[in-house]
Amino acid sequence: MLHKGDALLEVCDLTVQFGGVVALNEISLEIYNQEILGLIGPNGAGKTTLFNCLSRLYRQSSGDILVHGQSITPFSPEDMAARGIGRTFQNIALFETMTVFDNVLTGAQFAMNCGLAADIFGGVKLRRERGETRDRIMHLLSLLDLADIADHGIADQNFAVRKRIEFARALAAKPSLLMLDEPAGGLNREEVAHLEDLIRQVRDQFKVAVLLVEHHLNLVMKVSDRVVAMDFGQKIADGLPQAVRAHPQVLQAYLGEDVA
Amino acid sequence: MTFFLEQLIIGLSSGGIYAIMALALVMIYKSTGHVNLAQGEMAVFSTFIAWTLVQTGMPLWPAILLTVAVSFVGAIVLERVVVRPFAEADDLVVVAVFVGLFLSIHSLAGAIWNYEVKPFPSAFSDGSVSLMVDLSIRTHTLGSLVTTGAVLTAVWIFFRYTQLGLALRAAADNRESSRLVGINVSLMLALGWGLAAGIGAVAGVMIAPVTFLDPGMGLAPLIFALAGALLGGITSPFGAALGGLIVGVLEAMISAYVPYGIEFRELIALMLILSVLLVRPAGLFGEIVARRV
Repeated sequence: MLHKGDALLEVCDLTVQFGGVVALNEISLEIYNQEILGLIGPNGAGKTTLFNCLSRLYRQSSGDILVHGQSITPFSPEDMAARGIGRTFQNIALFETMTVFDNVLTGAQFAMNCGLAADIFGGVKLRRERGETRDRIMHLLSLLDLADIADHGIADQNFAVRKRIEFARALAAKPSLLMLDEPAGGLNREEVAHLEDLIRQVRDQFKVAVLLVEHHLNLVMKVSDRVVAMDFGQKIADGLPQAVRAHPQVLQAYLGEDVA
Repeated sequence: MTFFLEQLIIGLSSGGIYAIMALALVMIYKSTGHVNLAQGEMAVFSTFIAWTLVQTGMPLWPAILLTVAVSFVGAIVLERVVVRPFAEADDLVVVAVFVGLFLSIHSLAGAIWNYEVKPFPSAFSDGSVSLMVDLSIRTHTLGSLVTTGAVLTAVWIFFRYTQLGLALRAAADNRESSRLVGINVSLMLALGWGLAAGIGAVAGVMIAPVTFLDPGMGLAPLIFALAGALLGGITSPFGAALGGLIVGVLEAMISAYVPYGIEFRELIALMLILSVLLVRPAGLFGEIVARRV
C-alpha cells in the first residue's frame, strides 16, 4: 500500500561527496507516517551514507532533508532525537559501562526535561515523570524480551541481545521515524523471523515509521510496505516490494550484467 | 592496638582526600582519555582563592562554598579555552597541554601569592576528639574524613540516580551514541571539568591545614591520588575512590611502622603505580577497553 498525504520525511536531491567520491548523487525519497520503508542496494550503494546524513553525522554537499516539512540541515546529531529521528547502528554502539536498563534510559534523556535544579534536588514533577519513564522503559524491555536482564551489565550480552537493547534505546526516545541499520546482520534464521514480527509490532504499537537498511532481502521484502533500491549513490527503483524485486536495474545491480 | 586504630583513622582521613582527587582524575580521564596532570595544581589554586577570601574576612565555610563555585566555573572556561581545541590532537600533544597547564597554574599561583608557606585554617574546630581511652583524634582529621565521605556519597548519588548524572556517564562512555540519543556532549564535557575542579577544591581545603599552603602543595596528593586511581582502576569511579582510601591507609601505616617510612612515602606511591601498570594495568575494578571496529 502506498501512502498518501504529507510525508514525514522528505529527502530532496541529496548529494554527498567525500573528496572526489560521490557517495550520494541527487537522491530523492520520502517516508510517510507509520510506513515501513525498506532500503536495499549492494555494498557501497550509499545506504549508510544516507542514514548518517539523516542523523546529521554527515553533511550533504547539496540538496535538503525535510522532517515534517522543516529542513534539518542546520541541526546537529544531538538535536535529532527531539525531532523524532531515532536509529540503531550496524556495529552496535551501546554504553558499555552501564546496565541494560540504564542504556535504554539514556534514550529517554531528552524526553524528560525538567531542569537541572529539579533533577538534583528531586522535585515532585520529576519523581512522577521518572516513575512514568521507568514504567515505559520496563514495558519496552519486556516487549523486547529484555526485562529479565534489566539490571545486568552490557559486557556479557550476546550480539542478538545487544541488537535488541539498541532497538529499545532508540524506541525510548519516542521517535516518529526509526532507522534500523542492518538489524538482521549476524542474526540466525529464528532470530530474523522474530525480528520481522518485532518490526511490525513496533510500528503498530508505537505508531512509528521505519526506515530499514538491510542486506537480508527476504526480510526486507516481507516486512516493507515499500522498497527503495539504490546503486552507486542513486535511486534505481521505488515501489511495492514485488515490483522492486522484479525491476531489471535491481536484478542487474544484485546479480550482475547478464540478467535483463 | 590503639596506635594502630589511630593510624588507620589518620590513613582513612588522608585516603578520603586522595579518593576524591582520584575521582576527579577518573571523571576527566573517562571523558578525555587522559590523566589531568594539572588536577593537583588546580586544587591548590582553588585553595589559594579560599585563603584570599578568608583574609578579606569572610568566614571559612562560605569561603569554601564560594571557592567550589568559582572553581567549577573556572574549570569550564579552562576546558573550553585550553583543552577543547586539542580534543582531536595526538596523545603526546594532549599530554604536553596538560603539562603546560600544570606549569602555568603552578607559576600563576606563585606569582599571585608567592612561594612562602602559609598556614591554612581548619574548617573544623581545633583540638581533638576522644574516641576511646588512649585514643584521641584531631577534629580536623575526623571532619575531613566525614567531608570526603559526604562528597563521595553525593557524587555517587548524582551519577547513579539523576538524569544529568546519567547523561554525563553516557557522554564519557560513547560520544557518538550520546549525541544520537540527544545528549549535548560538549556541555557534558564542560560539566565534567567543572565537577572535577569543584571536588578538587574540597580536597585542597581539607589537605591545606595539614600540609600548609604553598604552590607546590598539590604534587604529592596528585601522585597519591593517581596511585589510588590506577590501583582501583582509572576507568572505575568506585575503584578509584577505594584505591585512594587504600593508598591513604598504606601511607599512614608505612609512615608509622617502617623506619624512616615518612621519608619515602612518595617513592612507595610511585612503586605502586609502576607495579599496577606492570601486573594489572586495568586496576582492581577497571575494565580492559576493547572496542569492536
